[in-house]
Amino acid sequence: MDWMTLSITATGVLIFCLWIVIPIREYRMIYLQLRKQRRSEATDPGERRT
Amino acid sequence: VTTLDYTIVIVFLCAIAAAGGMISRLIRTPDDLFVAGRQLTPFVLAATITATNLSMFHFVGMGGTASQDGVSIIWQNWTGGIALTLSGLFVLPLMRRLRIRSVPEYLELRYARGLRTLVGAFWGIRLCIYLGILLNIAGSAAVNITGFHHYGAWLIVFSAVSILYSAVGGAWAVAIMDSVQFLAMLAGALIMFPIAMSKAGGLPQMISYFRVAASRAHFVQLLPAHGAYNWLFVLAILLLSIKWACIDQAILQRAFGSRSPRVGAKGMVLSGLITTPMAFLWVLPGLAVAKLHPQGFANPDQAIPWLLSTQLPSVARGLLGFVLCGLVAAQISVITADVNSVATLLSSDVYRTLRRTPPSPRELLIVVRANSIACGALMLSVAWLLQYTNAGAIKANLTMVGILDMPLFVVTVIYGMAWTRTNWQGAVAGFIAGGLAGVGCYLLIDPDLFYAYVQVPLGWISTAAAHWVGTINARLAHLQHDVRNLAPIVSSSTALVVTPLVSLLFRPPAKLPDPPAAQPGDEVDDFHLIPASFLGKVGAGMAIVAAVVFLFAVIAAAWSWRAASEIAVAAMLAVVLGGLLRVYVK
Repeated sequence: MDWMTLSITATGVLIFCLWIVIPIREYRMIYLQLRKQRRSEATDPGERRT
Repeated sequence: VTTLDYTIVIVFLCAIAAAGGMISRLIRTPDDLFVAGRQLTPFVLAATITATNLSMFHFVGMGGTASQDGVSIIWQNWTGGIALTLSGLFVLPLMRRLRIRSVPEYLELRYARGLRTLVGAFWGIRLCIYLGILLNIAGSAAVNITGFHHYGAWLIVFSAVSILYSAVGGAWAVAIMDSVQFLAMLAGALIMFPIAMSKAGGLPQMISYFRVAASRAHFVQLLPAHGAYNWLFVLAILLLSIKWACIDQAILQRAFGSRSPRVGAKGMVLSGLITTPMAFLWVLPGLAVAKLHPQGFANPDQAIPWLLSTQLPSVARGLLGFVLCGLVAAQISVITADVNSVATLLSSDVYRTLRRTPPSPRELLIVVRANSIACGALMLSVAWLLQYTNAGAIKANLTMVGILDMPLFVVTVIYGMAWTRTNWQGAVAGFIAGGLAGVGCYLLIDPDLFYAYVQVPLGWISTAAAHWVGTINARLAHLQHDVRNLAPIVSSSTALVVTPLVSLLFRPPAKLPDPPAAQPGDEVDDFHLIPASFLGKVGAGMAIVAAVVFLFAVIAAAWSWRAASEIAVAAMLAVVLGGLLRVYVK
């Protein structure tokens, strides 16, 4: 494989890896926040998100 | 296509439909369906914006165009990166701060409720037609690649999966599944790219091959002075990209789902950053086809399917199946995002504004889901009808959209945000005048349209008048190949002139309401139009200066200036990197 093809492919692979690792962490954060929010709604049914 | 390839694609389709359906448990309020509860984070947002942007049109259409006219089509993606960055820095944060769900909602806050209803209905219907076109491309490509000649069956498979999960799971399903589909399409492109380059003898050899071929030397010129995709095309596509990144409902609705204005800006800039190198992955395989199959194709859209069906199976079994999953993912992610946007426009901007009393959240949830299904039915009907017509119908629709959206961008963003004196009368007049000027540009320059819609009808009224306009058409004949690029410039220029003139004839509008107060759980909003820190100012300044340099480099290419391509590429990178610096420093 020539260096031009290799560098473009490597950049693509890097983006691929970054977009697996970081979104998994971000989704975990969203999940934890949603769970906290839903729990607080369950304990205080008068308070609902608008 | 082997049984193994089919199995891989079917398993992939079933998995995304099932996963999308499971996400429906997250839906509790209309905001969950419209804007994913405004919980999205930067990298998730970048993945969903990129997946919403990229469709089979990029892989098949742009690759095919590159095989016929060279690499300069890549600017369609690269100007998109510039536009996403500029919109992320200067437009999206202002809209996100207002906690709106759609661009027509901004039009109500800024101008009048009637404008919201009208634009919402117009966009809803035209997005359904566009979805039909997307489905038609997907169905036709599936027939070409697989050789399974059941167009209707392909339409039903693609639309069933898309409608199922966007109607049930809404913006949450779109965001989560877009992250997966973004990876699937990137993986597909990463398989196709090195194989295509290796079959064509390697990238450096391919560039040398085209440089010495006198008739095709422009194939490897990034900013050619002549040809179908010349400097004027880049200028027009830059304008259209800025319009797209600032007012396109499907793109902005994803960004409205961000946790805060800064997170929205980060998502848009990151999306612009990753699209830039990714564009090589589908444009350069088109160039490889131009070398491997020099006699070309009657329809350039056949170039990439030819590459996939003839070159990939010889490398390994099942490889084609994975690339097809990427293509399917690209198309389904766009269709689901647009279905979600149509449902938002028709429910939030049309149904809700036409009712005297606001609907309950439960009622609105039912209406959104019913609208998603109605949108799917309309999309399927349009795609079914398109098999009986030629490409002219698709081209006409896209042309009309291009013409009408530019004036809307002028009144929404340029005057809507930068000049508080603009009122709804000026906005409506600018929109109509810009649209008419764009249509007039086509009618006067394009010889076929001129004859059918101007000269013949005018001849019924006055032969002298028909003869006079005929001389104008003859004088403009040399512009006919550039009419597609000139129309958006003419329509936006007209709206730029008419809107302030008409606004000054009527009373000033009411002041834009203050942004709603922060809600519990909201992130601190610390993103300002003019950055507080020195580094932030450097980043924003760098993006603005580089955008101006880019514009000069593109115009300089008209005189075949040697350094134009290099300067334009450097300026494009500087815009995105400046934007990145701006959004990541406080």
